[in-house]
Amino acid sequence: MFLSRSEYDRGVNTFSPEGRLFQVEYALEAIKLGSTAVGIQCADGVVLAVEKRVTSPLIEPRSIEKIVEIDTHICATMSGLTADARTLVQHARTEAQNHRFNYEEPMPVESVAQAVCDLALRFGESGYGEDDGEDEDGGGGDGSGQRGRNNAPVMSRPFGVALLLAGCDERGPALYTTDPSGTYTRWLAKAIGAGGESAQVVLEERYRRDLSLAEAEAIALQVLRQVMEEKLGAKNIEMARVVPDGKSGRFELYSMERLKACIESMSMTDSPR
Amino acid sequence: MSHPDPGFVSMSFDSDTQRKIVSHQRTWSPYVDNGGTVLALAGRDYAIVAADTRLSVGFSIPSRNFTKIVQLTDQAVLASAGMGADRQYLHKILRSRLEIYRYQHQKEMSLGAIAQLLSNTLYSRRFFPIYAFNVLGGIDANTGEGFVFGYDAIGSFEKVKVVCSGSGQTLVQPVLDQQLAGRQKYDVPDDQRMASLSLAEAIELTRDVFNSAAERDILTGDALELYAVTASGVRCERFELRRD
Amino acid sequence: MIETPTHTTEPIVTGSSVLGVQCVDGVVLACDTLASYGSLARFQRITRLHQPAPGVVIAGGGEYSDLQQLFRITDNIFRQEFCQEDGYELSPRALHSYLARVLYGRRSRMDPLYNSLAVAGKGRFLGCIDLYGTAFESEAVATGIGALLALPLIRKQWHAALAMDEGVRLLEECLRVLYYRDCRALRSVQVAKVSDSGEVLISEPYELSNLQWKVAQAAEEV
Repeated sequence: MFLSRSEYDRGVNTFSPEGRLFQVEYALEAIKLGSTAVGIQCADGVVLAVEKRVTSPLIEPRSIEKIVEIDTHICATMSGLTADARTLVQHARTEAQNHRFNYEEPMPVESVAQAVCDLALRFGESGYGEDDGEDEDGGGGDGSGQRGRNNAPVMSRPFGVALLLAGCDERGPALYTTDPSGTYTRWLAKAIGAGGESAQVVLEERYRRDLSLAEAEAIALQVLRQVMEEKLGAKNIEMARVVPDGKSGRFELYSMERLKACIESMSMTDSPR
Repeated sequence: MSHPDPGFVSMSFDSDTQRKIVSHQRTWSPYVDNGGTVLALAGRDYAIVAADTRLSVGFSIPSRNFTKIVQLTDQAVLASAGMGADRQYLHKILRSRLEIYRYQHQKEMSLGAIAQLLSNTLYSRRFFPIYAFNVLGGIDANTGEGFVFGYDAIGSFEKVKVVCSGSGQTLVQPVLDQQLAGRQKYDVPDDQRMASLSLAEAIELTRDVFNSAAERDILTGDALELYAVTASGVRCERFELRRD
Repeated sequence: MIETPTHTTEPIVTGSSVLGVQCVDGVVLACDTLASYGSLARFQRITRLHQPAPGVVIAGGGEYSDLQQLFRITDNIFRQEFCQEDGYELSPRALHSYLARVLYGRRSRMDPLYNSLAVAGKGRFLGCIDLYGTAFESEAVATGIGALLALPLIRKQWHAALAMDEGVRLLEECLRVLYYRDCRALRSVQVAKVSDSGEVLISEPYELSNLQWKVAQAAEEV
């Protein structure tokens, strides 16, 4: 029995005759509808800046949380279905804490990206709970009830979200993206979301390897300002950075005051046009 | 990540097995003490891990050449006294966990990470302990400073400068304390005394204490295996001990 | 409710010592052909030597039913390996390691296979495993009472240039000593020779010769 062409995008685990997984590709499209997020890595840290879509003056802007802490040395921002990101972030946090428990050391940033991607492809009928086949005895001693509960698939469809992961480990600052296809890539500077493509062009023009953290902050804001529909302000963006701290890093989420100061100094350094 | 989570993996026992553990401990013990002495000692830029090679069962010596030491990385060496079979099991799973870690994180596990992993591994068998008394020695990859960790069978551990475990512990540890960390006899503070001990001196001391232990402890003897960990790698030496 | 035991923590029908020695041109194993039921010499013509594949021989003491199961397990893994038809064959060292895992696994489930084994193979391999899963390679191996009576004798006589024929004579001498002193030993014995290249020669059971019981009389007279 052959499926008609249009039916290949129904099953999440069915390849089309051309070798495509349509549902995954559609999930990638969902990211292009999301708010824009920018990440820039430089020698003395990584900066993340992300647009918050405050669609009404009645929204409390602080209730929209776009940058999240994974561990003290790693943070993430997202574009796409932000609700899906919660599952991925929760998984990343658990893995990071597990790593600390097992090895008494912070988890490498790349390993966190890999951990997120491991979960990204666990969808459809065969995608099972977080700890299927892993620990035989949930560590806490109570190995009984846990398994049955987590044996249900975690997701029926691909995760419609991309993450920008910023962190510092013993190899220095690092910036990674993960996407719904379960691919992770390391970048020096990367923009994702609705304005991602045009923002990336600007980043490619302006990125230098010797950027200071302050310059990177300014570039991230300028890029964001260019691609945002609304006027950029402290209430509709979020920023964070991770700076090296010994063999690890320190995550800092910018306060409202600090955001205002950053926007101000960015406007000052703006090249007049 | 779909890998066995090292700290959590344990043999989980169904109620039937658990009942057997309870009801048959009196008639048959799954444990046997194979004796042996292990020692680890850290200097400023080196660590020594040493053990005898005798395998005893009661008053017999089934093997005179049974290693108690495993080199885990270029910076870490582990020695375990206690039960031979449990030791082999522990060394095997640790080696495989290190391999998995290397693939997963593309780096060698640090001494501190191994120390924590070993503790978790031992504790995961809290209610059916791995009968092994471990000493872990090595150098810090960044500072090059030597460190050793001493363990009990269920995972309590302590970062120290010198430690001894096994059947010769009661003979050796007091000598080490007096020679290396004595508070009454020496004017110099402990840490300075350890820092001033050269690798050659440390090897001499190790040989001496093992020869002494072999004199009085019937479970210790035959040969001494000594691993010296320095920034330039791990060197293994072997010395004969008395065989009676 | 009376619970049926599903595990052996004490042996019923037992074999006694197993001896092994590494020689310059191969390895020799030896044991008697007795399986005792307590102090009764119950089965006098059984074999405790087993060749699961070319170039490998295992010998065991302890609970005889467990030993038979170990022989079956060994046959099975060699059969599976053979059926792969990939030109690879299990080395004696691999078998030794595997059996150690089997025995260790069973002791960890509190259901031990009550045996001690000697594994001999091509490439002058000689290893030993006990019921706890303790495994090691050695140039001289003796289990059971043999560990007390025979091992010192083998170690004393052993030298690097020992030939297999000398090895056979050495082990025969040890079996003789064991027959004198071990109440669970028998005069009827078997010897297996595994040459360096993997040729295996397992003898038919034969009676130990040159037994000297005059010593016993002398002991009585004192």
